[in-house]
Amino acid sequence: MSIERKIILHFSAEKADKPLVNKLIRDYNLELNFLHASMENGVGTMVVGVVGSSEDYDKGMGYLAKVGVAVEDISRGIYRNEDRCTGCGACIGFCPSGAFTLDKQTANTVFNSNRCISCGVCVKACLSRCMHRKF
Amino acid sequence: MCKTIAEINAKIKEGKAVVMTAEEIIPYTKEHGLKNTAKTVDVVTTGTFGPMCSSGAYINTGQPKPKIKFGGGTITLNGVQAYAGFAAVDLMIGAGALPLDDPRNRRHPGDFDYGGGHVIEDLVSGKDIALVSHAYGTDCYPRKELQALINIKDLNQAVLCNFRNGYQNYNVAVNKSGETIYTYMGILKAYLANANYCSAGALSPLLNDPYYKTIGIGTRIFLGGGQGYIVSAGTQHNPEAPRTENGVPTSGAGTLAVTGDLKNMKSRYLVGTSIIGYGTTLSVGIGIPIPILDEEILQYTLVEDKDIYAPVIDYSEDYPLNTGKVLGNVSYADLRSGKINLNGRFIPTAALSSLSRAREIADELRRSIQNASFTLTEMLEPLPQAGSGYSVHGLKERPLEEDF
Repeated sequence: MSIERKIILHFSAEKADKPLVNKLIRDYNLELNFLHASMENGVGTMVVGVVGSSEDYDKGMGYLAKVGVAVEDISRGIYRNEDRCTGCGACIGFCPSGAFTLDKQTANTVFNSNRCISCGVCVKACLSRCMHRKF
Repeated sequence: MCKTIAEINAKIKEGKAVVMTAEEIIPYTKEHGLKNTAKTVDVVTTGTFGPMCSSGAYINTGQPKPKIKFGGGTITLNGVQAYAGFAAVDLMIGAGALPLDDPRNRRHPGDFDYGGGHVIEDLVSGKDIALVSHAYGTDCYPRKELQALINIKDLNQAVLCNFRNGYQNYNVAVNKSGETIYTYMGILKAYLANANYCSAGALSPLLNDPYYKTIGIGTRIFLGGGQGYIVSAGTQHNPEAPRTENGVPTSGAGTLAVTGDLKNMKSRYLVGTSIIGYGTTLSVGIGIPIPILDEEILQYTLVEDKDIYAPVIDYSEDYPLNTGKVLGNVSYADLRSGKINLNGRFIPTAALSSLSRAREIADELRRSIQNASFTLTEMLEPLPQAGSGYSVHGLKERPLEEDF
């Protein structure tokens, strides 16, 4: 069974030279889509979209656990209450991952959840408070 | 003059009026010419939807047994402070009112999750509201405390009463300082990293009638999903703002004071709004019909986003310190494109007002005129015009020590 997840990898600087990503792709047949990566004060963070068979996914996560990478599942992170969205587009300006776009035809604000890195900036910044955390 | 409002109303009642939105009228006139269009088209509808802070509501709850006088006491609705300075069971709530125990900006930026604007939205959507009042008691109104659930359907009156709405043009806000700031124009990132604006532009009511030739005191309007009226110019109404050749002000200019029965309104068009680090407010939907009485009035409704310019203002220093400095001027066509060019630098833009909902309002108003559930009114008095000597100015501070 194929599954799709969005995860954050937290790791220390010493792990940065390990071919973590390469392993996930080559040894565990996972498709990765990088949304964000940073290294600050010796702490690495990667936000990655993952697609693969559930068996491969579990094995891949097992590998990460073994090498000391903490995995945070944010697949169901942020959602929009469509009834409360007024479509103003204020969110477009401050979303760091560009998950909100303006549909020029309808003038509606589109939420592309596959681009969302679940940082939650929009939750308090939305004027009508239509963005929510799922957990 | 090619038509009168009475003639247009007669056509509306027969279901024969030709009505278009301020967006639809532009290509139509290009195709059919000014002269023909002024004859054929009867009404152009406009719309706007955005945060409008000087909005509020007054309500009359009806007397409990025994009776109480709110006036001079205290009153809260869902914990939010309301104003109790009137007669026995009249009260007023403003969009920016907060619960007493809201932490406000003690930990900056404050969240402002719930305030007066949200109470008004909840009231309109038919939810029960908790009212708590403490009064001092009189011989005629002995009761000193009231705690009760109220609901809009049981109130004697619930009236929206907004004294500054529908701003004719507005600032574009940026932040030239080195830190993020939290303003009523939204979150502004450091070093001019984003620009926020708030106007429906070419759909906005007063930008389609820049000299207030048809929009005046007594004009019936779409207000919050129901029908309302313009009662006067709004506070800070400034007809003397600089204008381009087509009459369009290049900064904030005219404003409207409006009122309407809250019982007929819908929460889709009155949305409680939280602005992080600033406070609460109410996003209000307003639509105003413009009767096409002649070619000149039609000409004004043909205004496009590219013809409307707004001033770019720094909200880290120039706005709060009232320096009057303008960093540049940009058109709504630029603002809507997603980025503006400010002195050679490209800045991404975002709106606080909803164009999609402004369109919906102009559309809804068009439909209700077409099906004759909305007819036009003659204005009773015009709004103060440019050249009338009416203007807006700052406060000349006189320190208390001098006088007391």
